Amino acid sequence: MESLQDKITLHLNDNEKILVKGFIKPIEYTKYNFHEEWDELANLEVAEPENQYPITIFQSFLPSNAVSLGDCWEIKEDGVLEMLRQLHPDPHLEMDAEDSQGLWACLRAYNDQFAGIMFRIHAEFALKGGWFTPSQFAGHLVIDRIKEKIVRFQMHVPETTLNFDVGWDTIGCTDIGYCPQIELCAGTESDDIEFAMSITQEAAERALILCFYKSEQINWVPPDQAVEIAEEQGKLIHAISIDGPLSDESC
Amino acid sequence: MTNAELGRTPSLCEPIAKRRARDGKTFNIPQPFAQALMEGWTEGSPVDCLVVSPEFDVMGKMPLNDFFDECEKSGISHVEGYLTFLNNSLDVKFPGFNASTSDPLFQ
Repeated sequence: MESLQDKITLHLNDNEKILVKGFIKPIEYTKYNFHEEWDELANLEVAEPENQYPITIFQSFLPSNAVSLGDCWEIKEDGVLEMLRQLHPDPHLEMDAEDSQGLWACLRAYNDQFAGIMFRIHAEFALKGGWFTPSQFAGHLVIDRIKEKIVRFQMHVPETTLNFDVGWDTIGCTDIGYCPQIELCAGTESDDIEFAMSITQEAAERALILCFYKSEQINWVPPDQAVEIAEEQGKLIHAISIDGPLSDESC
Repeated sequence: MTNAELGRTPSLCEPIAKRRARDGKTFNIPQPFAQALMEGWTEGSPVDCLVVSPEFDVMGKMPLNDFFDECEKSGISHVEGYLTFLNNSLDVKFPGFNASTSDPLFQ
């Protein structure tokens, strides 16, 4: 464990192994019923419900250099791909929408013993006859800095109204839908850890989303606020009306 | 805002209801503003960009898929094309209102 001013470095013990559990629940909804008519979606399930990994695989999620609270860094691809194969055998980090692909992590909190990292990954799965693109893989990692172990790991597709996009090449159409659980996790919940230094989850999410979408640099406001501000400032309203989310890969 | 939030796409009403049940969120939008947005929509368009005045007049409208086609046809970049759309809206040229007469999107 090292500390340089307000920067910390993070390491993991090479000799340990960790059990990771994987979950994919049946798709609950698609706009055009692809999940009922297409076997690849109707039968979508986790490739490996459990898998043991060497701790070193999580080194991919850690920064190469010392970092400060709120700093973001790119996650290394190899470890992530191996873990995504536990969900589905054919994951891809290179996506159709090249301008929003990527893997980023952010130091959210730490104290003398523990560090909390949040991360966001964009990836998709190649299906027979098409592809499946979750909105994002969001997650967090809690590390014991003294013992150099993983306390808690979770990577999941958030349960937004619509949280995946899918392309069925056979019929040349796309669909959008909701799956209640796509998740990898390990370790135990760590809600009782008190971090001496931290930023909010929202601030960390904000730092991460800016790594993916330039459009998030725009100060979007809800419609009722937009009307109020427009009236106060005598300005026009610039509105985007969209079928799905603007700031994830499900649209 | 999403078309799903406005119930524009009827088949999404069910997941919206389920999401609200999960999150306990409700959605409130001023009725005149909603009317303005619906005036600006293009049927079948998954994404529409609109400029609306504080009095809820639509000053410019653009279905995004048409925008990409027009940029390619005109040989201009997306950035330049979108800026033209915004400036034309500010200049009260009402871009997007002449689409049915095949006038160019960018004036």
